[in-house]
This record gives sequence, structure tokens and C-alpha cells, in this order.
Amino acid sequence: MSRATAFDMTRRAFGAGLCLCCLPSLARAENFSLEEVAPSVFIRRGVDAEADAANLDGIANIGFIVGEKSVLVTDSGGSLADGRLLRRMIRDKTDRPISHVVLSHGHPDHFFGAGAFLDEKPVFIGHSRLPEALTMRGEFYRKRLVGLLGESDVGPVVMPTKLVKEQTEIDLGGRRIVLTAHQPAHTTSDLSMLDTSSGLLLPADLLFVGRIPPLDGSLSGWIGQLEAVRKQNYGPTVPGHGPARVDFGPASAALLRYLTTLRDGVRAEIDSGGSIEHAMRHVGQSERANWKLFDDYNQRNVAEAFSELEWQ
Amino acid sequence: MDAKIFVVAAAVFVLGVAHALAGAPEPRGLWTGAMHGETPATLAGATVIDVTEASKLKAEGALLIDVAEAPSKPPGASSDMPWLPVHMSIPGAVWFAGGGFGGGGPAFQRRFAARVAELTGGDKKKSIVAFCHPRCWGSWNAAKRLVLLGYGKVYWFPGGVEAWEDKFAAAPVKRDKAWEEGDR
Amino acid sequence: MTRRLATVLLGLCAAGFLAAPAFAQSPDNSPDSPAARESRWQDLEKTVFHGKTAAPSNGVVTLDAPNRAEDAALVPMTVTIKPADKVKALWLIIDDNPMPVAAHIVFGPAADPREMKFRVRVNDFTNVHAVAQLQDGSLVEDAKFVKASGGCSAPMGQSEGEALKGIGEMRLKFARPVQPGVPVEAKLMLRHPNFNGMQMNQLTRLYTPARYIDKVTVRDGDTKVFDMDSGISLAANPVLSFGLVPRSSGSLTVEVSDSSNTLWRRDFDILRMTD
Repeated sequence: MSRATAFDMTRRAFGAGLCLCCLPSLARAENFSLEEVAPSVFIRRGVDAEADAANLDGIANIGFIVGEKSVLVTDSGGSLADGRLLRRMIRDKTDRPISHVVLSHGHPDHFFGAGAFLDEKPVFIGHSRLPEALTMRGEFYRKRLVGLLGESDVGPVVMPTKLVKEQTEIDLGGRRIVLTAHQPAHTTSDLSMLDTSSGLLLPADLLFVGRIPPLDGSLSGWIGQLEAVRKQNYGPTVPGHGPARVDFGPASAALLRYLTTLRDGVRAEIDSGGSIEHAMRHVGQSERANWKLFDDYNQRNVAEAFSELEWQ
Repeated sequence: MDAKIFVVAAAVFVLGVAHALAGAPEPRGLWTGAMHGETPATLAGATVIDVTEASKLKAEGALLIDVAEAPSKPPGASSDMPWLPVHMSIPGAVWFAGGGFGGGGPAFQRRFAARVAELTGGDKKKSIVAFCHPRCWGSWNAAKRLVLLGYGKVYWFPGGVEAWEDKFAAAPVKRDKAWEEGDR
Repeated sequence: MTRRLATVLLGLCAAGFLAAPAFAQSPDNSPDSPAARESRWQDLEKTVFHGKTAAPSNGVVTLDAPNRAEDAALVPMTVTIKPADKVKALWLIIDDNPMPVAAHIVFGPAADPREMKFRVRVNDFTNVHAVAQLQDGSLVEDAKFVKASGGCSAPMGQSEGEALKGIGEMRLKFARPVQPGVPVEAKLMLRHPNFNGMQMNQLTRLYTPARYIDKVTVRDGDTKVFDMDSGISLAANPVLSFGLVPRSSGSLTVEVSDSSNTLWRRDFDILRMTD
């Protein structure tokens, strides 16, 4: 962080009284509503929009699970301000300690809320490849988000303190949560969660509902992971984006349809000697009506897919 | 991997804020150590300013001197592959590429003094703002040099181009020809 | 739209940041003003062509580039040339990139220069120029304005070690089976991270050292197809499409060297390729 911005931030905080930096949060608090998607599992639905100063990058589905002893945060939020709102909501519901904060993968709309939980001293859990992703891009994301929200609402990049390589279990007191680290799919650091007591699946951004999924890991990997998870016949699920609770079967089928359309379209282009430009203009267009923000991401997804698949 | 490493890493990110407030002690003369790192919070004889003050001084017609170093050509690059990075700075600034060097001896000092004298028309009371990037000793040195040269209204803007860009538009600025030629 | 907005727009599309402008910019000192772009091009002409100026192309060379690049680190561009026999050499120049010459191609007798496709990085809102050198030495150019940002400085999502996996691997694909004497389009794929020296490891604050492909030569037997000098403006894992008039040698030799003086060479048995 630059000296100047650090000074500015402190000056603002002290000069105006600490409350100033909470004002936008207060305004937003009315819109911050929780849904109890399973007993003692509360989810805030993210808005299907791009990050901006009004939504505080609260675009992902985040929330918490309350056990008999402690609380696990399923994802922290898109900014320090977003994370603070979540923390306040947790404290409205329970006084139990926040023992765990999950960083589901290395995208800013999921991890920038972590700063709001630092003084509770939870364990920050991430995929074993999350440190690599945050190291390469965390500060870059932070700077960009500061440009949108301002320094005081963004917060630091918080590194995971416990890494998951394959699978791990957490006991919140009478409530076991199983965390699974996935092969490159949506990103290279995707973590999913299963609340064993309710059977609720929380696959984070491995599942997008209604909002176009951005590809930042591996298309083949994502299709493979989804197909594997589908075999488990999960029911109620909290997607990373979209409604707070969906049925995994149909929701994952829709995502799988988009991803396979992308894969098959790109493969057909490659096999017929088509160019990446041509593919970017044409592949996936049949899915246009099915996804919000389609035009903002589809072409980039095609380019990513093309450069992945042409080497296969 | 060891989780402890990442606890430390997290602490580094978080502490970055608090750490920046402390500042390094002011050296007596020019700084000749590593150019990137913790800089002092003060500069005796000069005023430390933020972006709001910098923009006010710019509007009042202060001389803005950018001493950022030009990014160096990647090693191994062939000579027939031109290296022409666009330098973004405060619009209207004069760019002394590498002008914040702490060493250089009398020749460098003469070159610096001569170009500043030209730009100020010899007016030692002209407001001058020195800047480069955050945590860059170059602008501290340049401001110090200006103080030592007897300029009375020297401003050090440690936030530099980055702080400027957070509030205002930066613009491409070419190397100051006279400064470059002074090198020959 | 400002340059910083573009950074926001395109630097991190995967993360939900398509959003509102940060500030307005006065047109006078705007880096994106036509005057500033023209001045930049004049500087480039001086440096790259030693003061020679390129005339408008009149259709001899045509550059196709996206108006808005969806992925700044992978921007496809196509250069078409006609009539092909008029052209000796070709430059693809991304004006505002720090190493603006993305590629300089010198065609040989076995080339079919009608079309070349590149994938480049674009670091800014910038003009892109395709300049052809005709047989008489004169230069003609075509330009497009491309909106993109952060293609050079956007950090990789993976570590350096991961990005170096498979470095030097080459693939060659043809649109149709190769027949001596019949022009054919070839696609050359190179596995190389093309580190440009501007990607910072955000934790160590150190830049991943530059390491990029600086020369590619393609020969059909002993006959030159083309030589290419390239820089950090080529995308990672670059892919080049070029035209070839195959000789009867049946062997296409590709040599690639990078800025750390590593050399890779592969001979492709092109008359028997089934891909």
C-alpha cells in the first residue's frame, strides 16, 4: 500500500470520526437480507450485477453456518464493507465465536470480506493453491476495487491460514462440515462444502445460476468436476451466484449445458481449422438468452476455452 | 505447505497500513541506499503534501518535477526491438528520468541545478513539487536537493503518480529533452 | 472512456468488475486524443523505420483487430496483404505497448504472405499499425484503434513454475493436406509463457523476469518461409497463422529462440501430416 493512501485513509477515519466509513454500510444494510436455506444456515443472495460503489461488490452469495459451539462463514463477501455487514448479521443471530472463515476461491467478490473477521481470529480456510492465486493477483484486485469503492471499504487481502489439499472436516459442535478441494475448474483454487447435518451442498462458484459463469481455470476440468459432483445426487444447494437455494440437479444441468455448448462449439471450430476470432463471435450464442451479463463474458470465455482446447 | 507462512503473509498485508505510518528516519544528506523502500514522513526545509495540495499547487502554476526512473528494457532484448514505454505522470509535469539519484557527484548536481534554474527562470521562491512513486526515495532526494540549492518553496509529494491517478487523470509525459541532453 | 476504466473493465473480467467510470478526463491532455496518438506514431516511425514514413495502404495491407478486446492478454489480429508478391516484410506494431513491435516478419520465397494471424497483448487504449514494406523499399500502413487494457501488467493467475510447464513445445496444423506447389494456411503453436517482465508477484513485489520468444524462423527444406523478430507484445503460448507454398522437400523446420538464449528446433514431415 502506498504511504499516501495509508495516510489518507487514517486521516479520513480519525478526522471525521470512525462512523463516516460506516455510512455507506448503514445505507446498504437495509438491502442485506438473509435467507435461512437450511436449519441455522443463513445466506445473503448477491446481486446479479457488476461490482460498484452502491453494491459494495456484494455480488456473491455469502453467509454462515451456526453449530452448537461455533460459527463458520461460508464465504466472506466482496469487500471489507460487505464483510462487515455479514458480521453484523451474524451477531444479530448468535454470540457464538466465529471459528472459521472459508475463502472459497481466489476471486475478489468472495475473499475481500475476510478483513472484517480478522479480530475474531478465526481459521481462514482455502484451497492449497489459493495462496498462489492471491499472491499473483490479490494486490492487483485490491487496487482495482479501491478504484471503485475507495480505500476504506475494500480492506486487505487476507491469506488462508489452513489449506485444504484434498478434503478436510470441521466440527462446529454437533455439526460437521466437509470441505473438498477441486482440480482446476472455475478457477485453480475451488473449494466446495457439504453441511453433513442438513445435507446442504455449498459448491461456491462451481455452480452459477442465472449469471454467466466466467472461466478462469479449466473448461474441461469444470465439466469433469460438475459431472462427478452430479453423480452424488445432491439436493438443496447454495450456488456461488444466483438464488440463495436451488436444487442441484436442474441448476447444475443448466450450467453444464452452457459449458458443454462452449466446449463443443470451440472444438468444432478448432477441428474445422476455424480461427479464434470466428469462434469468439459465434460460439455460445445459442445460450445468450439464458444468462445475465452474457455479452460481458461469453467472448472472453470462448477465447479462454479456445486457447485451452487447441492444445488438447 | 506450512500454514504458518501464510499467517505471516496475512499479517504483512494487514500491517502494511500501520507500517506505512511510522516512516524511516530522515538521513542528513541525500539518500544513497536502495531507492525503493520505507521513506521518512518528513523532509526538513520542505513541505510534505497530499494529492489535494498537489492539485492546488498545480493549479497555482507550481513547477512539477517527476523523477521516476524509466522502466528499463528487459535484458536480452535485441537492439532492433525498440523499447518505448509510455510514461504516465501528472499532466504538465517535467520528467527528469532518474533525477532522484542520491549519488552522481558534482556533475549530476550541476545538471540538476542548471535545469531547475532554467525552468524556474532563476526564481528561488517558485513553488516546486517533487514526486515519483510511493515508497520511492527519488522524490525525497530531489526535494532535498532543491532545499539544499536554496529553493524556498519546496513540496514533496510522496504519494506520487499513483496517488494522483486515484483522484485525477494522469497523462503521457515525454522525457525532458534538456534534462536528457544534460547527461551528455 | 478513460484508460483506467479500461483497466477495470478488462483486467479482471473473471471477477465481476465491469463497472462505472472512476473520473472524467479532459480531452486536451488525454492520452487517447488523436493528437497524442499521432505524436506517438511519429515517434515510432522515427525509431522503427529510421525516419521513413509509411503511406496509407490503399488496400495493400489491411489490419483486422477487435474494436474492444475482450481479453487484453489474448487479442487476435489478422493482417491481409494483396497483391502478395508486392510485399517483402511486415510489422505489427501496438503503439502504446512498451515494446511496440509485436512482430517483424521478413518473407522468403516459400511464403504466401496473403494472410497472417497473430495473438498479442494490448496494454492500453491504443492504435495498432500493420506496416508492409514493398519490393521497392517503400512502406504502407493500415491502423486500427483498439480498446483494451492491462494485457501486459495483468498478473498471471498461476505461479512462474506452473507457467513454464511444457516450454518449447511446438505444434503445426494445416487447414488442408499439404501438396507441393499449392498454397496452404498453416497454424504454428508455441508453448511459451512469454514473460514480459511487467507481471508482478504481488507478495514478494518482485517482477517475474522477462523471458520471451525473440526469434522464429520457418524453412521449407533450405528455402525460407519467413523470419520473425518478436517481443513481449506477443501473447503467452503464441499462435501464428501463416501462408506457405510448399516445396517438394516435405520438411518444414521451425526454429524458435527466446530472450534467455534457449533454442528449440523441430522438423515437421509436412507431406505426411494427417492433422
